[in-house]
Amino acid sequence: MATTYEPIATTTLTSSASSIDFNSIPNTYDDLRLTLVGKATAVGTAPRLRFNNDTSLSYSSVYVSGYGSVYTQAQSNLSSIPLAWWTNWDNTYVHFHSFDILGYSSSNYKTLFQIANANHITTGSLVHSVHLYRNLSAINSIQLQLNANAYDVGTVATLYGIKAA
Amino acid sequence: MANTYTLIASNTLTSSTASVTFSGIPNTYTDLVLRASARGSNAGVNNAIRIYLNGSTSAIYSYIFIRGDGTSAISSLSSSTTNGWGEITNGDTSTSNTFGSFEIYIPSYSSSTNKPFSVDTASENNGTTAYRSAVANLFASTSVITSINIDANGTNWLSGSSFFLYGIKNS
Repeated sequence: MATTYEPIATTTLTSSASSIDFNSIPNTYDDLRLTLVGKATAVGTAPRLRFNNDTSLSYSSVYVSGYGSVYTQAQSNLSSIPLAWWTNWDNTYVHFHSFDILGYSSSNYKTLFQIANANHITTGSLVHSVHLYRNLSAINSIQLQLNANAYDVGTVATLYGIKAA
Repeated sequence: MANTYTLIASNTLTSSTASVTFSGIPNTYTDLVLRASARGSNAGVNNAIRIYLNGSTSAIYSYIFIRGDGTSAISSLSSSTTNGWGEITNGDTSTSNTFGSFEIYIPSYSSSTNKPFSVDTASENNGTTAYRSAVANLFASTSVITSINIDANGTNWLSGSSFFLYGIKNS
């Protein structure tokens, strides 16, 4: 029987890194799931996601978030997908992000769903968001970049492939 | 190739019980996922879900949640609490024979860092009130997670409620 849910690649940092990349993603799956768990090397670190090293204004996003007693929403159209919309990474608290990337190898625009957990005990945020990558090309690489600083040692990023049949 | 997504244990209730525990969780996976279909005995349309990791009742949990109930939305943060929070599933006056569902995702559960874990919850009710929630929990313990307890917040999980614990390997 074909495997439905399998790891394509994983990175566990043994030294800090300014980017975590997944390259040469096979087009043999239907959907992808990307998980990212870790810390940064300093406060004020804002991770962002790009596909195929595309830096054009092709990423639109809608967010709903709770932080403290405030719930809110936001929308953006940027040259990347910001992961930490309300709460930046720092060197103390572990953040968790999970992305479902649907139809990544299709010739349509690509839809993604994100869950982001940024719990800093007395502050922090929870975000659910939906994104659209407005490019008809198959996604064959993913870049998890930063505005500054680095992903800290121990940060884990894993890409899974999901087959529909 | 080893299985990526493996059922570790399951529990489908044939009688009501105050809580469900998965213990002796092996440390051989990367992440844990617990999925449930549950109904509680609370005399209302809702039943809250409390989560305990490693049986800890120390004040080392914190959570942020957002919730919509068909009428309004709410966000809230609680810190230094003695339990994790799973939000709301079906209570005993919700539509009969109807169970809510929730998923708990614990990434890197065997790491030596504090443990963030996420909960996604929905109750189902053929009425004007149902609940859709998400929670960002933090368990401020560097210990490996070896047990998960899902508690019905002082009431009972009813017969027919089912709980499934999966392990996910990233290699």
